[in-house]
Amino acid sequence: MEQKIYGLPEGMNDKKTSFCPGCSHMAAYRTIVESLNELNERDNAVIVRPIGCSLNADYSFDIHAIQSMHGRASAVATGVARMHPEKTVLAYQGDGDAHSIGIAECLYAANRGEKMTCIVINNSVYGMTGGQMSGTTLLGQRTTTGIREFDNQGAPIHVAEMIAQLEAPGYVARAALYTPKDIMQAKKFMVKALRCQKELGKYSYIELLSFCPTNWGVKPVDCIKYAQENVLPVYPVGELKTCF
Amino acid sequence: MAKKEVWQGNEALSESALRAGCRFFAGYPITPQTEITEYLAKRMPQLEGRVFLQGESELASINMVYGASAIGARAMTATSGQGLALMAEGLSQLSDAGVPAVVVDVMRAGPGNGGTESSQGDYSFVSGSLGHGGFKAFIFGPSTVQETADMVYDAFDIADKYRVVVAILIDGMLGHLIEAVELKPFRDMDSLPFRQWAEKNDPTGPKVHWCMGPNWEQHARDVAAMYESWSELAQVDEFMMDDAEYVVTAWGTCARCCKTAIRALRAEGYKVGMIRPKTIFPFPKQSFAALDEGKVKQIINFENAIPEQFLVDVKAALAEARKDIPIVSYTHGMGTCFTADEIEAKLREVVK
Repeated sequence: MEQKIYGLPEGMNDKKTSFCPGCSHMAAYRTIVESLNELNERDNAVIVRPIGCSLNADYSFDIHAIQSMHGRASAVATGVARMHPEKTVLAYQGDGDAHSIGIAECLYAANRGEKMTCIVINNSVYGMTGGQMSGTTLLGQRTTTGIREFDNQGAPIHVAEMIAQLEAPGYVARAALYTPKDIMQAKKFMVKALRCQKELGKYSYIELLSFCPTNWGVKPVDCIKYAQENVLPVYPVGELKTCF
Repeated sequence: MAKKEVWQGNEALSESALRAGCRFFAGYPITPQTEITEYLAKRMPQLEGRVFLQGESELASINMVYGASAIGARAMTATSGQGLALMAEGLSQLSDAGVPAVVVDVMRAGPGNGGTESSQGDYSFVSGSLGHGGFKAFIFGPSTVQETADMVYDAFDIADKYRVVVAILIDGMLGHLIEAVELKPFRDMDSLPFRQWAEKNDPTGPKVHWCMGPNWEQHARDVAAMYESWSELAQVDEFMMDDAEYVVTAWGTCARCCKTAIRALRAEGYKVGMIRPKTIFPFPKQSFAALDEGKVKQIINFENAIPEQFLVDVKAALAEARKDIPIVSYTHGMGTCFTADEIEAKLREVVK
């Protein structure tokens, strides 16, 4: 007898997206939707979206969403969380969004301990505009605005570590969306982040390391190896601060 | 009738906003607006269900307002020119998404860092297009503390009704002016209009807040038609205009000084009047269309901005109505403002 053991979680649909082959955004969405479902919080959630590749999945999931301007998702989420603290408020951002143009909004929301979860998709490049250097671009990584050199742009910025040393945040973690094992760990962290917000009323931050085969110039099939060799040594995964 | 009380402009504005139902304020200190942020920081925690938050910047503040309003709260921010420039992107997004808000600009002097003295130099910036893309705000330009309090009270209703940003354009002089005013009573928070479109209220509607409709171009046409329909909402103060042969055009605090000068000349029999727009957008074009070319000899424009900004709207209104009346313009700027005596002297040169 046939038994369905894998499919889209409730709250996600199979509408076409325009993500590139090998992109990690859908894995990130799936992690969020599954975690919200598990906590029975999907209907109570408001997700604030950034400007960046995440826009490409406009209608792929059934969560109330507010579209913010580039870099400002954490500030918009702050307004939502302050007026409706009973909501599960998510800011879904990219590394260019949260770690560069919106670093002030990102850090200050964390420092105030807003009752929200900031999710940052870190693929070490500006994806939507076509592969320019971001704050998290690795040393030596080739981008359309040059190869990152320490003397010119400094080292890749570590915002998760910066947030972890602030007093107010309750949960800070970095996970990868590389292998099934990594994704399971990301899901575990995501549930903890959301619980920290919901149960303890604290700020959570979770960074999800993602593939960008198109702008890395790496074939999707080679991405796991590339990321394990190049990204993980710079951005180690794990919990940086936990309230459980 | 309630008793008149003595209020500073910035504080009267703040208290009136709370009475109109403002539930969320985020702002950042900047002279000459700071009293608004300070007053609300003290006052909002005294009231139930209100949230005050000092943002880390004007950028953050306007986006906090966006989030609070998108989830259904009447929300406001206040700033001065430099801060408004930083907010421009957010205000444009609010306008496109149809998320209402009230924004107060207490104008200070000059471009760049400028100075903290009073000026009317943000007129074009605010009335042209609030941020990129060409959408507009409904703009009030009060000239007394009473008008400021009344207009901010109405601003929240207009913002809700049309789902737009409403701007209150005052200057440092009016923000710091202390006058006797009668404030309107507290609105019953349960009687405020239900926001069907807000995230929490519309389980059946579209789940993504971006722009108002699926067809973006049509959305822009609808917005343009809405702006056209506002022409009947234009507010104007036609001062001693019945038999006026010399027509002063001015707005805000500058128009107030003009009134004193006009009264002095009227006492001597000179037929001087004034058109003072109380709304900057919609602009009261009908007052200019009603001018009698056979009767009006001269239009005299006064404003505290160099080069002129308000004058551009005056000329456009006259051109649209095909009125060929000579115009002379006088300006101050960069922190220097007209006094009534100075205006009186200029008017004497014209009418003699």
